[in-house]
Amino acid sequence: MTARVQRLAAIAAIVIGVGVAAAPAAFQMFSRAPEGGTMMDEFEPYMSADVISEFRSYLATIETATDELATVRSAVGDPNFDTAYVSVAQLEAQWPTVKADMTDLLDRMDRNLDNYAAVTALPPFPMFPWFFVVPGVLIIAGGVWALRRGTSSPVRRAPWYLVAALGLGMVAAPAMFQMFSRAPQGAEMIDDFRPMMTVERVRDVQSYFITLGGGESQLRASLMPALEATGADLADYPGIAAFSSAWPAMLQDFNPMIATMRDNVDNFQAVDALPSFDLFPWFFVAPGVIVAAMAAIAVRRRADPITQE
Amino acid sequence: MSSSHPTLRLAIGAIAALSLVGAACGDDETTSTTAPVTQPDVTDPSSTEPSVTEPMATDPASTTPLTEPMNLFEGELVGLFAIAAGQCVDGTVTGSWFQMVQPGGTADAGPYVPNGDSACADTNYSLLSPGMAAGLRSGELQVAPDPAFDESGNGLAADIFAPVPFFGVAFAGAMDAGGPTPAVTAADGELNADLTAFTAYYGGGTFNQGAVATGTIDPMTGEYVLEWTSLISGGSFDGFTGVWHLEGVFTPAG
Repeated sequence: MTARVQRLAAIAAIVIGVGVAAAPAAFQMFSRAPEGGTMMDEFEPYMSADVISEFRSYLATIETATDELATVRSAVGDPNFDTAYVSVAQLEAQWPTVKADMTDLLDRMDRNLDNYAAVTALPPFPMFPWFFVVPGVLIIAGGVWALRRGTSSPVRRAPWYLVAALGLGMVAAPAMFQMFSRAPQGAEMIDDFRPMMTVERVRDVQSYFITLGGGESQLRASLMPALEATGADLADYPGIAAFSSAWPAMLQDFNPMIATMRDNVDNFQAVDALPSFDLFPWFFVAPGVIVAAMAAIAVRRRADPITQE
Repeated sequence: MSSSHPTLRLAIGAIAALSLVGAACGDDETTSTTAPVTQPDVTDPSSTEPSVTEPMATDPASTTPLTEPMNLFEGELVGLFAIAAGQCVDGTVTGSWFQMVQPGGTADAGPYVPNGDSACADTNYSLLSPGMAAGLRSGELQVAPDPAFDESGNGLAADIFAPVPFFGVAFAGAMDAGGPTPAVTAADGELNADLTAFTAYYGGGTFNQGAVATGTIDPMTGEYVLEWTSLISGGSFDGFTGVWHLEGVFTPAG
């Protein structure tokens, strides 16, 4: 009876080990986790309060310029304004949408700064699969070893001590890496980024670039010279001047951010396809507890007569 | 009427005989230099002198140089494809230019990205003007300088064409240092150019704009047209397509 229980415990440990070791393959972690790591690395330049604040200041600059457009429109007095300055007219009309969408994007980044920091404090993404494979394989080895040796002596109990240590290690690992707090933060970030990490959303942002760039260039190259020709003083429009002055810097900053969003849509989707970050600590704790329990049961039977096969 | 036939026959016979003697005495050089001039008469069905040219046209030895113009630009072309500056006159775009097609659009129909800095009334066209090397050199990698941008994000490569303002920031074009050397071949006036290393520099970012370009070249004058489109994959301009049109005159190296 005792030998049977021990054998069953060893087999259960092996099964758990196989499950743990196979989990990364089942969830395609070997490809998805590194993609997540790449995404985290590439977003790093933008996940700072200073950078987000700078982007907000760009939006404020454009807002001031667009506020002045109504005055410019009436000062120029062109009845065909909307066709003569189609890019400026588009900027004027679409700015509320652009501003709302870009503000939403920046808000999402802003409120996830702590979450991002929490996730980056976890072990590197590419190592995630190995946190399952290595203990899983060792548990399998311990289970097989236990099956072959039984538990009739301290030496023969060694495989069970190994299995117990691995189980306890798996239970302790999430606490050591603060996964119980950090993983849910990662899950929250993934949820919040989901609406902005799509090709459609990136296309929208690209179209904003055309709206802003087209509007600015027509403002600077056509509309403001036409306004000046009416005798107006361009100094009366500091917002537009500031927009044109800041535009090259905006373009240089917006460009790589849009590129980062676009180039990480696939990476995000890979991470999103993994099991929820909330569950990750329990992927360690649950099998760890079971394996440690199996080892405890087996070792507690050591005083009983053993029938060696 | 009937009395004039012997005279007419005699005159035609004399002209034909003189023509044959002239053809027999003429050297190859003379024949080839006159070929482009006489070619339209031979091929023109409205020619009013069939009886005079017919004997020459039926002689294989003499018709070959007459009907085939000299092709100076055949095979691999190594040299300078000088860029003719783009111009907009009365709504017509000539010379070399660039367009950017928005995602989902087509090279022929757009929609294009209007460039408020364009010199054209149709701001969908951004005109190109020759750079310091006057144009594109085949058989040579014209790479961007290092650094490739100034602090405002303007592209600095200015060998092939002068940087072009686009949305307030200039884009430049050069060959990627790790890419294949541009190679152009001509066959019967058709051009095929490996320009896969061609890269645009804009706003601090680089965008591959290379492709295998096609076009034509005048076998006598070297006047050429090269066109290609290149879809941007990834980055801030993902899904946009660059449309490039270069024209000018090719000059062989050396």
